[in-house]
Amino acid sequence: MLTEVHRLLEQAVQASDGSADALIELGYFLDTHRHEPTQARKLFEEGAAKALSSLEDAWTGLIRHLEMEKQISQALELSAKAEQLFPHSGRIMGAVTDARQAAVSAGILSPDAIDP
Amino acid sequence: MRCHMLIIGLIVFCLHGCRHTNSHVLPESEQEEGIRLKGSSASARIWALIAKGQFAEAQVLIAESSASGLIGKEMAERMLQRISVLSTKLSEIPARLQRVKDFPSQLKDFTLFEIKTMLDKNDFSLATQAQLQTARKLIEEQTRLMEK
Repeated sequence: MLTEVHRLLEQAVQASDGSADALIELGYFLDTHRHEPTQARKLFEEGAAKALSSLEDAWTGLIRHLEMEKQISQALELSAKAEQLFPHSGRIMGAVTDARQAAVSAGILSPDAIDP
Repeated sequence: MRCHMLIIGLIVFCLHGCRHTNSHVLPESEQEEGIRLKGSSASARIWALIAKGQFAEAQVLIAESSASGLIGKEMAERMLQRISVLSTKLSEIPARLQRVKDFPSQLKDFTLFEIKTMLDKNDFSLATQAQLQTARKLIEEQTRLMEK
């Protein structure tokens, strides 16, 4: 039965083109039932990287959405979190600086806050 | 649930890593910390210039900061990429996307930065808010797919 489960989990990774969830599930399986911690670690790392990439994509869209809907304080709140987690992301930094620009235009932030 | 826990655990790890780069391995020397702080403020200045559309100034600062090691090559590349995205004109998106109903063709020669500025300043003299927002989203989606 374990062999069958293993096969299905591998198939899920293939079919999903290496989605984060599929990689992580396979990682746990290999770690728990196959005692392959080295392989499991690689899968956890890859799964985490994919999940972070999805998060980067989602947060960029969300920050932009909040900015465009003029929900500036929420945009700023999320921007602070996003900047901490993704300081090297061009897309996140673009969205964050746009949100702060909008906050300055709306009179919520002073220009000094974004012009170091 | 397990997936959530692992991701949260890794996020906490990354956050910790971002703020204390080497503190659990070697103590950061004062000089290293000075460079790191200068680097992060150079970075912030560059992003601010880019957000204001001062691309020429930003590019000079990117080149200087990169040459002096204040910012890494990858970061410099991302900043330049962002400038390129903001300089993209609406006319540069694929032709098939320009044929949709209500496509704001009067905005064709404007860059993403110019369109965002009009939105920011509530300048609806050339196009309605909805048209400007559509134009912005079309250019951003196009460049998003290119950046992936």
